[in-house]
Amino acid sequence: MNLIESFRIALQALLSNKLRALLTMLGIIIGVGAVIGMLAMGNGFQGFLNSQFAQLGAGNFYVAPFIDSNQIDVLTSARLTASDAQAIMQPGRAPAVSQVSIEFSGNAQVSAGGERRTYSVRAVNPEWFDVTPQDLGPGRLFTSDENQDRARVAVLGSIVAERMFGDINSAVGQRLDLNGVGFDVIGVLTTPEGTFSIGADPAEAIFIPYHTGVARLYRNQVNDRIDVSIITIKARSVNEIDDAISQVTAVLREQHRLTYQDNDFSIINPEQIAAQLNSVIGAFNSFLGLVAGISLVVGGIGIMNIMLVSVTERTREIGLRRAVGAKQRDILLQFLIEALVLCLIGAALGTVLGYGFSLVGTFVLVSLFNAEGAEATVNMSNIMLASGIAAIIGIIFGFFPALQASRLNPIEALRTE
Amino acid sequence: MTDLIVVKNLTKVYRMGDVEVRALRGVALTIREGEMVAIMGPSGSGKSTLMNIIGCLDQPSDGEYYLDGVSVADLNDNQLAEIRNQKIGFVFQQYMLLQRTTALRNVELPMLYGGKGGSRHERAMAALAAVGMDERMHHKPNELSGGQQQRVAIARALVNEPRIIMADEPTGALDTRTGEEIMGIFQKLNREQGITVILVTHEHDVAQHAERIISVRDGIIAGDEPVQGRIVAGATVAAVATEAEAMDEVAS
Repeated sequence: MNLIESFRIALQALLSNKLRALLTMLGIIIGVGAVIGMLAMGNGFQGFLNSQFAQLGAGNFYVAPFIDSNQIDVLTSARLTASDAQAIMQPGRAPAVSQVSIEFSGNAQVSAGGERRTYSVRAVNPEWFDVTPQDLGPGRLFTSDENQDRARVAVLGSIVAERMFGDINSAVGQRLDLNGVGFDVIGVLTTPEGTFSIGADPAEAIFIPYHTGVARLYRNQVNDRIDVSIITIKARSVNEIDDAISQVTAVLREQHRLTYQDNDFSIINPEQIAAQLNSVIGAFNSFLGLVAGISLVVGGIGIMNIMLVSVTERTREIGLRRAVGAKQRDILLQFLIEALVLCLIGAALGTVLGYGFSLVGTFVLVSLFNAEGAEATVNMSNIMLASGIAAIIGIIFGFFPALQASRLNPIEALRTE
Repeated sequence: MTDLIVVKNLTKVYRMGDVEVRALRGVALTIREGEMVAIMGPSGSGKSTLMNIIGCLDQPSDGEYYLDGVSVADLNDNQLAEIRNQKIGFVFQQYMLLQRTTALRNVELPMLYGGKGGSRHERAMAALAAVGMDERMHHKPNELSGGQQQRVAIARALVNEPRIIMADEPTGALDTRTGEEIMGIFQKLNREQGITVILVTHEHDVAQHAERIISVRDGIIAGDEPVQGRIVAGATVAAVATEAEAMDEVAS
């Protein structure tokens, strides 16, 4: 007996009792829908996270004057200076590094006209804008000369510009005071609010040249152990990030004359953090999928139940088929395929439901998890996975009823009323 | 004529709990190719058991059964299914048609499990034509009368060109006249195509259509003799038809 014929018979049997077939499939439909919806939400969240990390700039990593809290080395205290950054950039010392930028940031009283507010003021060297590119609106960024000359110039985030001067276009050329020191506004960034950054949101920060900041704003906060709050380093390529990290570590340990001691600085690798987060989210996502998958098993029990009923109802038909020459395996196959078809149709309808669930998932991500721009996405592989599981469940739970059907005694089956 | 069915010392014992039921107690019989035989007997006589064994639906507890020269007692379930498919056509009292399935599809059923080549469709149509049902091949069983359903069932039995047709009370659910038509079809198939027909019945009138009556009682063959004054259904049907037409004419 060929398979096409078996599928035709199975479809006919199911169509002859549409409502019952639909109710039986419900477990599978909901199960497949839930699995697809859950995985779609996980995909969306993962995608959101990765896009956030991508905003940090590919191949970037950070050095900060923190001591790893796991270390209990009382002899060391944190140390990180601008000369460390210069050492890294010395030719041949860290060949996997392409660019280094330094920053010292804090808060300052900002006043202009009648407005007085507190903002984060990030003192950065001009390379910072190369390493972590920003969108520049009106005006310009500051130069290396201005940095060396400790020029009192400032680049404002768009929100700062709007709040202090009404709109971004009228900010350039104005003056503003930072902790009582006068600065000229030379440019405004249009980097969108909420862009992921290590440090204050660029839209809500004021950028001034590093040397200006250290000399005029943060003089009391810097010392000979710490005069940068973060060093941002760009590796030559994403693939060289691990080499760059080990080279930078070696340079800094040499600079700090560390031999047996632990590092007195910390290296933060967003790739690694992203990978860790991804694996955590992936595991959580699998767990959610598994929970959703339980309803598939419940659906399978429903399939088994209805198949047992079907075998009982169609005992005479089974007897007849056996009488006209069906072998036991023909009957087994017929009922197995019927259970399989039931599950596959259920999976198809469940996929549609899964798309519906994914829309809800997007809503949940955006409004409950504040993942602005996140979108729950249904993968082909997720559909295949859920449908595959549904098919396996159909075969597993359909097997027992099918076996029972195939083992019926043809004479007794024919005699059944 | 060759011996198509040879049964020797056949016994069948059922176990019902602790009780042993001896349904057949040493049956011996031979049916030659092309014969039309009726097996008669009251219920509980063992005739159904005998029919099931001859029809390869069941196997004997002991004894020998040769069908077309093959010893059936040694065959496994799959081989029995193949023999049923290829050599035997069943006709049942309750027609046993698949509901919600057209006559054509019903007739095609045995060919799903093994056929003799050629187009399924054409062979099914030919079988339906042989029983005069070709014009109703797209009808479903609930759109057909009892006699028509039994004709479809006969077409299904015929479709794989079997050596034997086994009919179990084929007229039991039909009125006399329709029953005569069905018996006429069996006689015609026997006469014109040489198919061996085995009728199982407890009605004497039905058995009289065969050439030979085998009586079963208490699990043994109680009698085996040729039919005296055999009924030829065609004649009766013609007579009944003429009578009906005559009455129609009188009425009009």
